[in-house]
Amino acid sequence: MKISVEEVEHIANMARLYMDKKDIAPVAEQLNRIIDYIDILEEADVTGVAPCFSPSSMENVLREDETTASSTVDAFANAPEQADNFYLVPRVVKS
Amino acid sequence: MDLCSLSISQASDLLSKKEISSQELTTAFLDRIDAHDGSINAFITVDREMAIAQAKKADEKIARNEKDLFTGIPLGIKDIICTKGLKTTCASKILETFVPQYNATVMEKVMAQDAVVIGKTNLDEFAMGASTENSAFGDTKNPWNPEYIPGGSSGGSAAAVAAQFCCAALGTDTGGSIRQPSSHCNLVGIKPTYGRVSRFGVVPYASSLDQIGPMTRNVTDAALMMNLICGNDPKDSTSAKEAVPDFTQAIAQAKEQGIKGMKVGIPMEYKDMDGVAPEVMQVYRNAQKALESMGAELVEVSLPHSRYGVAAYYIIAPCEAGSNLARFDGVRYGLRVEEAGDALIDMYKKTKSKGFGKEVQRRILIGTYALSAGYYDAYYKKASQIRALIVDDYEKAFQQCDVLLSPVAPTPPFKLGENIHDPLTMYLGDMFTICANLAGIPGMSLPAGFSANNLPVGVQMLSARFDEMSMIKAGYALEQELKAGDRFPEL
Repeated sequence: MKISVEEVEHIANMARLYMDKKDIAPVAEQLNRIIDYIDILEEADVTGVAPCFSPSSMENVLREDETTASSTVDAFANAPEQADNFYLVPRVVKS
Repeated sequence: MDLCSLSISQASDLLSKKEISSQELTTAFLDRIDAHDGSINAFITVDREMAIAQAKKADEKIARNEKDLFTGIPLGIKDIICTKGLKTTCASKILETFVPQYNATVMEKVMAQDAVVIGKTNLDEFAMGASTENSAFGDTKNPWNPEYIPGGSSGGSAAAVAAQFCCAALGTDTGGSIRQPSSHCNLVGIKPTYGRVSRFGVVPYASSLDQIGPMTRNVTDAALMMNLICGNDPKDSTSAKEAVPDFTQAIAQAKEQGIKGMKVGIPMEYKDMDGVAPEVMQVYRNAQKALESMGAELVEVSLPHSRYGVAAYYIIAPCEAGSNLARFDGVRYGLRVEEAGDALIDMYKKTKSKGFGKEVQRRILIGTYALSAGYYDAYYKKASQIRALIVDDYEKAFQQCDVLLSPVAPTPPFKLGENIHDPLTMYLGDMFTICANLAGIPGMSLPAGFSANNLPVGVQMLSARFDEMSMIKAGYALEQELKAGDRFPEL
């Protein structure tokens, strides 16, 4: 499968990455080399094989809904901008 | 006495006997870091005052005869493990100023015994890499020869232990990131069974693959550190409930009974592989002979799907990474890049593009592509099906043998800069280590020899899930027979 320059732009946008026009073609080339290699997966027969998403037992782990020490840490201590226990972000709706 | 060459068990013994103090030991390491880390760059952060204060507290505990095994022992901590009040950068510009408000569970265990944090070690950004050349804070050099890479991603931890900047270190391993740098720096490194060690407080790269583990001077120290860090944690829902054995008992067994009759699996697929250096194969064959000479039985096994391991990993890990790294958006922590008039989405894009390095962005792009509409079945689902087949391969293999033996990396350490512009070649370097992460089984790297130009080459031992004991037992016997770990590089 070949990833086109347009596709790289589309993926970058979905991943919220800004890319310089001049970087897109070299990135597309690198991604294609990697994807070409990954395409060896096509030759493996996986008919009827249930996928494994994690090596752990995948059981729900429940606990009492109680306050613990970690729920009282200062969640805003590392925030770039905050006020009155809110995170501040740039304007979302244009005035 | 050369304090900096001490292992955990040696230092702990001398501290118990009050022949040395933790402050002496800690100061010796800090002075050595001051003298030599300028040329190695093993550390991102060293907080001298904090380390000395911790050592003082440890000495007071020892004076009260309340010493634990790790009390006063200086350790290096990979800078992806959250340390309360001490900067944790993940070697990324995006977290350059991040100071965690809590400790990772492993750090709670380390601090409960009053061990000393000598510093936070360098890594490939967010643990993505195999050479520690992807750090935003400069490359780490191999103490055996500073023109060569120390391996990665836990290259700072490996270099710090090899350069005698600390007794031992903690690393993390997602595709080989403890085992490969341990091999390249002549250390013992263990990636425990997935779930053995709580991942709470470790900045996640690929959550179904990441695991914390020890990087030490010898197998005994590795077993001691396993005793310290393993165990169920309610804060990590993937942490295992299996009982944790005393891992040093595996060493006691090796001493008492030897390893006669143990079955060591040799994967037939690894006998004749393209792209594996003859020196690596030589060291691998020597290790097989050494095990045989001690009475172990070599058994041929097959891992037919191991050839798909690298391809499956470079789908699964980037998919998980793309999702995990979405949290770095300039809102709750870390860097924010914003210009007047920017909308929210512009701020996201500028922050991520300035904050993440090239390799991290590359993996986010691969992950986003593989999970995007129309490609999910061809990539993520297919890779996860291959993963299930790799799990089966190991289950079958461990019905025939107690441990598996393989090389760690296909080549000895390469030169800095040699592969940095060739991501695929770098990825293929993980071919022997990656399948253990996909299957969740434990793996261990052991010093086993040297290349013609005097660079370390290790071997890897693997065992079945939750059977680290077999691996440690055989690993200890092999260590005693090969005696390859008994030396330090000259700085």
